[in-house]
Amino acid sequence: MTRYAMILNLHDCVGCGTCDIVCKIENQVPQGVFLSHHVTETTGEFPKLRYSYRPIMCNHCEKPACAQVCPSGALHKDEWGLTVVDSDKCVSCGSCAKACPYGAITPAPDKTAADNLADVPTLIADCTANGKEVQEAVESDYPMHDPALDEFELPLLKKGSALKCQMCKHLVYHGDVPRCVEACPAHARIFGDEEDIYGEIHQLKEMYDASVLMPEKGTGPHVYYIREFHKTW
Amino acid sequence: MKITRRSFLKASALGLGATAVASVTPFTALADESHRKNETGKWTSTACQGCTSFCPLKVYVEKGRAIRVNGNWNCTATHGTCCPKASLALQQVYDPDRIKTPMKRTNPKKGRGIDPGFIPITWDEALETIADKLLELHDNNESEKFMFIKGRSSEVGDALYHYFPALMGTPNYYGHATICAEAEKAASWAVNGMYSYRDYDMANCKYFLMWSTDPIGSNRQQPAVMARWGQIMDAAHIVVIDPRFSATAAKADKWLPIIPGTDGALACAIAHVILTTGKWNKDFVGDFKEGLQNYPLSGFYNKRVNLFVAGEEVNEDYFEYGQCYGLVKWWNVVLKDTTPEWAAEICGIDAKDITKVAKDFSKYGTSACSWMSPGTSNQPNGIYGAMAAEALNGLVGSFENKGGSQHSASVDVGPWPDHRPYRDKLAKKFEKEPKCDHRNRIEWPAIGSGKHSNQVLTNNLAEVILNDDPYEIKFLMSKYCNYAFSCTGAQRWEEAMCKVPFYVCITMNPSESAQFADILLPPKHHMFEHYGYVKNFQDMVTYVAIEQPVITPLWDTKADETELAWAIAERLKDKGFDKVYKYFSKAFVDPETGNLPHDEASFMEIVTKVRTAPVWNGQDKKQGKDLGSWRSFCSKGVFNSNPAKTKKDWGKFGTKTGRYEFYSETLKKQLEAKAWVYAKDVDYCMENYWGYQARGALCYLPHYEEPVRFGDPKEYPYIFSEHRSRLSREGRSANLPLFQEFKDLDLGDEAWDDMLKINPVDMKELGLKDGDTIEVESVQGKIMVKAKGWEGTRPGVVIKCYGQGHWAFGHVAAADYAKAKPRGGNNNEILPVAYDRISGNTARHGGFARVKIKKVSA
Repeated sequence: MTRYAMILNLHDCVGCGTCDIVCKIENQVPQGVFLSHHVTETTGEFPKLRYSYRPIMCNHCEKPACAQVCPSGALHKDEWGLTVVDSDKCVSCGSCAKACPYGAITPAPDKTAADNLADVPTLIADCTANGKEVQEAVESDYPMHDPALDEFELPLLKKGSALKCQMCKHLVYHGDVPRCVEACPAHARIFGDEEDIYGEIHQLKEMYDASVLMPEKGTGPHVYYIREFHKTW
Repeated sequence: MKITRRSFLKASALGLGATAVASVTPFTALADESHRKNETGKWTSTACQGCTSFCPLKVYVEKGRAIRVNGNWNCTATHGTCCPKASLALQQVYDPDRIKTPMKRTNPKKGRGIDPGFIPITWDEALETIADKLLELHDNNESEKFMFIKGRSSEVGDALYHYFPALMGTPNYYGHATICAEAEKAASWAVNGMYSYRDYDMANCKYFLMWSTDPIGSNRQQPAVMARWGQIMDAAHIVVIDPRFSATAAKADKWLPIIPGTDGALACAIAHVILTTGKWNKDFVGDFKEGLQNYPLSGFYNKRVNLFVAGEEVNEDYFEYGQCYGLVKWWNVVLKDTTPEWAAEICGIDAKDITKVAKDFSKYGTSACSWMSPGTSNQPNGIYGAMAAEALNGLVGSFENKGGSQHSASVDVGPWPDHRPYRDKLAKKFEKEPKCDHRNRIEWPAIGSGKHSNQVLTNNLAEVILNDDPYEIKFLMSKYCNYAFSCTGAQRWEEAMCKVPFYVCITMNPSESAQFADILLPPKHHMFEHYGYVKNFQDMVTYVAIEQPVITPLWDTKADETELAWAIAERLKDKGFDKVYKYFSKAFVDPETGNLPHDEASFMEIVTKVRTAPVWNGQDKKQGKDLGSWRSFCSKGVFNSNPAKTKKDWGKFGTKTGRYEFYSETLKKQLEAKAWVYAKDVDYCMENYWGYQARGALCYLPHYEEPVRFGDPKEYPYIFSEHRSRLSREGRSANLPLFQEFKDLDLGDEAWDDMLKINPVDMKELGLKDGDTIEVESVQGKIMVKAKGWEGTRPGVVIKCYGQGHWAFGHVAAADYAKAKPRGGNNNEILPVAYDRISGNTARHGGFARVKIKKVSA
């Protein structure tokens, strides 16, 4: 059976944030919320420094703490092993966000990304545009809205509903790769079927000592990290 | 074999097929230019000008809207990728603060914080006013008082920026080159004869010596570097010399945190070690003659010996040169004394580290790159240090060798049609008149493209305007530039723009400069809304990429470079001055159809076709695979050249001697020629006008000049050093929420903020903690930013990213647009005006501003 997973090759990663940025654009993530983000750490003292950059996202766990506490079954594992949200069922209780040890779920804020745009007032009367005029000009609440999202009722617009990475299911369900994977200029994100022994995920996991975040939580992440961001001195 | 994403996608087509999910893999889909099975839009080709990497792109367009941006998969040079700046352009084109109509000011009073009282006007009114003002000057025989300045442009930009003003009879049209990186080109030219940036054979390079070069974080060759860096880390040694811990330093073997402005000393010390250890490349450089012995009775008559012994001069006659020239002179005048110990004192880098770098660099020899960048060259008097960094490539013979820095592959594009037949008397007269930027004066060698008095002195134009020197500028027009923000000593530009009686600003956003404008004109967005093209090189391939109108244009805008040029020309014709119009409408012939342009839109397209024809017209010029047709060029979006040839210039370098010059006869010729015009010698000019320490032979040799520092160290104890942001679309990103949300991608910075990065030792001394508001003051001015303790800089040197500090531009960029309150502080308000006068380049780096820091509030 298929088990979608992602490998983040920290050695190839250049810490440019393309993944974070395209994710926000693609999934219409409101300001202040991040489905794909990063943690950085600078250790050591001048001049012997080490900087590490780690992309973070939903780990699409084998035993997702979020789904376990979800009272309505909105958060569930799909047939490809992805942890996804059924927006119709979500009762916006927020328990998933509290349960996730990775902080990968955010209750949708009051304002959607489209609201963020609509709220932009006119800077110079009659001379510059404003948010609503942009929406009218492009005939869409969100200029970068891809109709492919509609099929899956994405993005989740209901206040308080669970906002999380759904591995770009609007793309993946059609046989494509998530947007962050496609856009990564360093080819540091590898997406595929972990069960496929000829696949790259399987091979890289074998080749390197792949790690996951917070293994002690027993959630069984399917987002793996290989290699180090920095060179070893 | 390294598994790449591409090879995985190829391999996994079978694997995924078995899961009954995937029937279309991106890889095969990419190849035939459709992308996804369920997509309803289409992928269109264009190019990004968010920095000078100029990357070919694919934009996914649905119902006239741009949805997402990828690198153009047909582009060899970029490996089909692009950096995050390309995606930021989506927020730029849909920025709600974009100017949607021409507008004019109603408040004649100008100044920061004074409401210009902008009101919308029609294009008709705007063009009418502009044409009247132009003709007024023309009719009064003072057309030279019209000045045109520009920032970023595509390769069709000359229609507006060059030929329109030239035919109007003004010599005063100026680009932004010397607030960019001309010192880098000049340094390269002085030693290897190539007045340009270099390409790099990254695939074969084994040792990268990066001189403040941060290609992971910012321009140049960014996507190619990003795509390759993992492999490079596996296969090569990387040493980054930079006052700050950069994105590239974070992924290097070694970071050498040099004291700003001392690069020349370090480069000379590295050269010293290479020579004293005998590790220079004998084939390329040459060697001592046989039979030269210090001790003739020692019995080694037929052996070559290394006479480069620290502190000892060498007889010029003892050396036989290969491809090079002047090494012995370099040694005798400079290098014999530039020991690692000497440099260590100056640069703040351990002598052992210097020696090790020199030994390793020469060990990898022909496949070691000394990759010099503006951080090293764009310093006051920066050309000499940059020459030293560049000359290291010559010493180890890597220049144009496999794995070394390269002369990029050449691609011919179509020439501009001759405009001379369309000149009137005034245009002919003023074409011969000197440009007013002072380049002809004794104060400036101003070497551009290898000729003295040939370089634009961009930042000096503020002085031209402020002092009416040589004459009053009555009409200023600017395109895609914001000198009141982007030039050092930015305050002077505010004054200059206040002073100009009539200022027309072409800008997408109400920028700082726009606040002083009498008329604002809204352009189309280069990446999404108009035709044009760019040409550049990355990773050994030169490419020509199209820019196209791929979305439904927003607002009442015109393509500034072409449509606007046509519209102005047409209006001038209606008023009786038809020279520009005749040139535009008669000289440009569609290479496909033979048609002449008849309106703005056809002009825009035909200019682009005329200029790009050699890459698609089927007359294969053997410079790469001809695309066959205009349609194919528009669809594929990019022409890829054949790979750059190594050793292209060997035996015929573009220098005066035709050799790789460690003693630059090339530079000497130009400096002497410039001094000769004023019946002076070079030493006299150096002392009285040009401001360098060099005299005599040193004027033509790569060497260390003591850094320029403005401000008394007692009053201004800290050296201020700046860098670029990885998300900055050349200072135009700050109004994009995505830029602000991800500002922390710049090492040491914080989201939505502007930090002065200070070593924790200094933080403690200053009694500061992270997030404190501080006032940073130099002799030039002061700004308010936040303090951040950061180990990525040495004590005594404070670091700040450029890009924040907008007091206009939009509701995100400025903290309060109406009150002209900035978000953070603009570096250019504390950086004084300083130049490298040989290249005419405005200094930005080298730590030439000292600052004092005062806590304002917690």
